[in-house]
Amino acid sequence: MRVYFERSGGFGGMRLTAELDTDQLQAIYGATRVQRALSPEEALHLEKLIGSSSFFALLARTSSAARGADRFQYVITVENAGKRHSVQMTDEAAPAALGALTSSLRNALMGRQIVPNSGDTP
Amino acid sequence: MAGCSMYYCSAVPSFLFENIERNGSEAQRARARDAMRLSQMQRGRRFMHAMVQRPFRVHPRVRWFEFVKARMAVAPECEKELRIYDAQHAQRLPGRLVRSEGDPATGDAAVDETYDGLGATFDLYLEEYGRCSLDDRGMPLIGTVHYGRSYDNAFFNGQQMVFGDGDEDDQNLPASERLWNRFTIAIDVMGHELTHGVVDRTAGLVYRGQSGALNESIADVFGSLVKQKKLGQEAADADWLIGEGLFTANVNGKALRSMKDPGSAYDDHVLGKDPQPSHMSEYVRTMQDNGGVHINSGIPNKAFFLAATSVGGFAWEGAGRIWYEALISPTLSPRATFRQFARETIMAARDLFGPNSAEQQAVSDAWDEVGVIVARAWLAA
Repeated sequence: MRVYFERSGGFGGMRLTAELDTDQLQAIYGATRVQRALSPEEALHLEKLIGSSSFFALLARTSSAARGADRFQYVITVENAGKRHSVQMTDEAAPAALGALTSSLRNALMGRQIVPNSGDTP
Repeated sequence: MAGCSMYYCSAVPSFLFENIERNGSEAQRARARDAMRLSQMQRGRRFMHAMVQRPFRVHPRVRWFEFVKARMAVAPECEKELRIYDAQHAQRLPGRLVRSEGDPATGDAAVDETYDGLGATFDLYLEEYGRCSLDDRGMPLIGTVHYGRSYDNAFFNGQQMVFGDGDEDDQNLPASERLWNRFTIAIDVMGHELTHGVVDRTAGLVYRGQSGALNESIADVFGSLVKQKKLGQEAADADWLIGEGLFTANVNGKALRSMKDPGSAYDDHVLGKDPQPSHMSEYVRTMQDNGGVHINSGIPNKAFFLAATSVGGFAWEGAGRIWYEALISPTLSPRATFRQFARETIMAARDLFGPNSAEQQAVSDAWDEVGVIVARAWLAA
């Protein structure tokens, strides 16, 4: 399974990306495309998160009418078993099912372990 | 029945409002206050238009001072009301109330910094521009801190300000890997977020494309002015950086943005390079970030920096006044382009400081220099 994650907007307005490959056990992150190995535990965790979010059934675009500024925008693209699906959303419109996924992927953006953040509410 | 003072005429004479203040019930007084605040804005604008028609016998700085005083004199007291909440690392808002207006410092750095920063922003708007809170009607200012986990952001949600802790709340992350400090550490972040509320309730600049970049720029402008006023800095002495102090020493960068030199604030192997342009010829067309609102804001940011340093003195008194007047102009539309906003600032400079004044020239030159050209014919009337 390959997962591509992009985050833009926010107060800083930066665009950060991460690419994760659970077959090759590899993660690429950061502006200079730093590589690091993905542990089997992380790969399994990521596959579980994608599975439990019913990712391939999600709407391609989710936005909310909520006013506001400096919120993040996310793009998540997953390729698995010949299927490919891409989802785009702002963080306040993110479906509850994606809360754990987006916080794990946020760790990946900075090159950190994709571990569950205890106490996160979506 | 009309009552006229030196600066304005109102349909309801002010002694009627004073009687209600003295003798009315709580509900009657609240409604009278509301009515007075609403008419303040109209009064202020009529005053400004009246001033344009009169010969410029009075010094521009006195005219502005009298304007602010006139608005405040008729207004019932404007009371600051801050409320700081703790989200306790969850994402439900507003969270638990931890510090109300007048409460002593709590010892929680994020709480106390937010209290002071939102208070300083409130003070800037009231003292310099006669504006009573976000809505110009004294609404309470609500801030939530400790939002989420490792949340490297601050935002405004339409009703309140929200701040994350960056990497400060991650006990498992070694210091050598931390990239972000708490977002309340920089006072301009607070001024920026509160200003989004002001923009929402004035021009209502739509948060995408050029109008969105203007929205972002205005938030940076007044965020920076809060910082400069707190430090007592003249325009020439300010660093013109936005979000200085948010990065740890592990990031190759001094701040998130530079108004003086857009594109120079950071260049890091993980976080990337500051993407801001400083000229219209480098305008970034993109789908990310709502069409690059935090990116293209570099262009109007640079224009403000140029105007403020050209005018000299304290930026909040010169270019700041001009930008505020442009923001509240009834002819600034929610979908304004850079050019339309530039025109508003040039007209505001003319109204505040006189036609062909040094200030008007400074603003006009600033926009020329960043490649936003306003046709002279547009400035007629």
